[in-house]
Amino acid sequence: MARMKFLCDAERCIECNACSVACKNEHEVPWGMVRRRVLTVNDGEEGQERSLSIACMHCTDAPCIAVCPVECIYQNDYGIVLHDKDLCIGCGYCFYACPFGAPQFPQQSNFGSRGKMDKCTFCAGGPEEPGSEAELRKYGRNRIAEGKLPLCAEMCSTRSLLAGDGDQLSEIYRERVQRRGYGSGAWGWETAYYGPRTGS
Amino acid sequence: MARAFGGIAAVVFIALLVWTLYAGFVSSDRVVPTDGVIGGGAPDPVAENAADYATLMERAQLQRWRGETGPSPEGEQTALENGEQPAGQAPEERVQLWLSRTEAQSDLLQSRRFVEGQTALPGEVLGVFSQPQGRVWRAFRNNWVVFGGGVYIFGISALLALFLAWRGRVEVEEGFSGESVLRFNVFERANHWMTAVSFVLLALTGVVILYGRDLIRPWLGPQTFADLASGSAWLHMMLILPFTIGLFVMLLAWVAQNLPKRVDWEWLKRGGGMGSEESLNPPAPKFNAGQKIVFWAVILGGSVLVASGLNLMFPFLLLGYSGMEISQTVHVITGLLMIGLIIGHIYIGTIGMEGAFDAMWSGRVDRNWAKEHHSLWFDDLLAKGKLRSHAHASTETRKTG
Repeated sequence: MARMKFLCDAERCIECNACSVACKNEHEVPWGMVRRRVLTVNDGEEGQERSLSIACMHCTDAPCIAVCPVECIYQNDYGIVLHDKDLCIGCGYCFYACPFGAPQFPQQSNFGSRGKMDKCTFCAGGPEEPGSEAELRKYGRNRIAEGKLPLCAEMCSTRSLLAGDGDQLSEIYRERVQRRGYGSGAWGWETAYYGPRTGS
Repeated sequence: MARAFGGIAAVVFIALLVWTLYAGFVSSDRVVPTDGVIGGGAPDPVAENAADYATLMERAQLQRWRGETGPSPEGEQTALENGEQPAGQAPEERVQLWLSRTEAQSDLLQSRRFVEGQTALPGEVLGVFSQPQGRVWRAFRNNWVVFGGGVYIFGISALLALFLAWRGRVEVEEGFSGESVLRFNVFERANHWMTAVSFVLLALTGVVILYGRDLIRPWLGPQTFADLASGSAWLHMMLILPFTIGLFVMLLAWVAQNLPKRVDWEWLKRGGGMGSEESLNPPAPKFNAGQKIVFWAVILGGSVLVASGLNLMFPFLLLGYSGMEISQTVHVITGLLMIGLIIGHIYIGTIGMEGAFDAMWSGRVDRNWAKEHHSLWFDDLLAKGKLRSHAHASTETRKTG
């Protein structure tokens, strides 16, 4: 059984932001919310600068699910973390727990609620009939149900951002590192997928 | 009667305490795949059959070729090594399997650390790549706070119930005289009850957010509980207004009478005379040391709650990730401590002591109650002529066991 993951090859990301634009457009994400964003670390440091595309990493033992006071977030058998917007109360706890800043809210301030949380769905929609109007309106397109992978990864011009089964992604990445002779590793994997077991 | 009630309550609270401890030790908050909202409608499979699965695998492989020449479409197709696991695993086993890849992929893993970068997007937090301390916050909240809070609240309640069973109600030794004196005016009482009602509602709505998921949701179902939680969150935020005003007015009205004095130390050393029925109550002014402790705990705890709560209402306005996580933790721990304190306050103001409730309800207390519990205040009243110097003629001596 597959375990869906994202892998961003930092040596290949050219900070073109196509992934975040594609995501925003595909799912018609409202103004002010970004499901996927690109950031640059060590900006200006020669040889150290890396750009990274980051969204929900669909963590193992996901902290957002663990802290949600209404249990509206869940994980499916593929490891994709989804949520039910009908139940969300907009408390913002998932954002405090999330290691990657993935959950987004329509409101900045919390007067009773920050609105319904929105985040990357791995293009897998949500708890509505796949392909339905309701699903599109609340969660965006369901590409997984159509046998397609997330659009951000599929349209990445340098194939920096990869989406798919974790074992396959790590194989692809290893192959690349072997060919070109360098690589800074799978950014965020430690925290996202092995966080609960390793280190402390 | 009161003692029997205390005994029964003590048994109940100790049972709840043991149950909380047990739950704390056996429960695990590890997240397992559920394929849909727990207790919700039908499962939500995204790509269930083997064909869908194979398609996804193939598309993942397509991402391999870019930057180098890909395989010829006419060439030999690469066989997919998808390492499929048998379907129908238990969710726990599946998580174990996911975690078991750590060793195999250790060459790809970096050290877990806080990584901050730069982004063109507005808002400082969006520049943070990873903040692994989110997991620390989650683990602390879901284990220590949740179960520690339960043990603390049931523990306080059990101690009070045991105290009631052992000591019984604190009664007015000389019985009610029938003559009363004003203790709190209408303004003080109105403010007290505004603050009190706000606090109780704040506590209940806060408990819905902290414990509702485990204790209420299974009974109400996902949607009804979500509505309750949503309403609770709203009410919790709105009540900040009456609660803050109440605290402020309380501070202005009572601070002068609550400054610590030497007599308070004496009072505390003698345990406030609560220990036994025989011991005399130590002298106390209008507010005894116990009440002063409650006053200052409410003022200080309340201020911490308001400050951290306001901070949670404007997330990331002043603080970053760690700041918000600490804010939330301080808010919930202070809230729980205050709930315990107020349970004690309610106890002594109602069941715990005869005649005490009238002070805050009608505002008037009995002459003998004042004499026994606040002797210095009583002397003061006599000196000011607000009470006659000898007991009322119709003093009824009512003594019950």
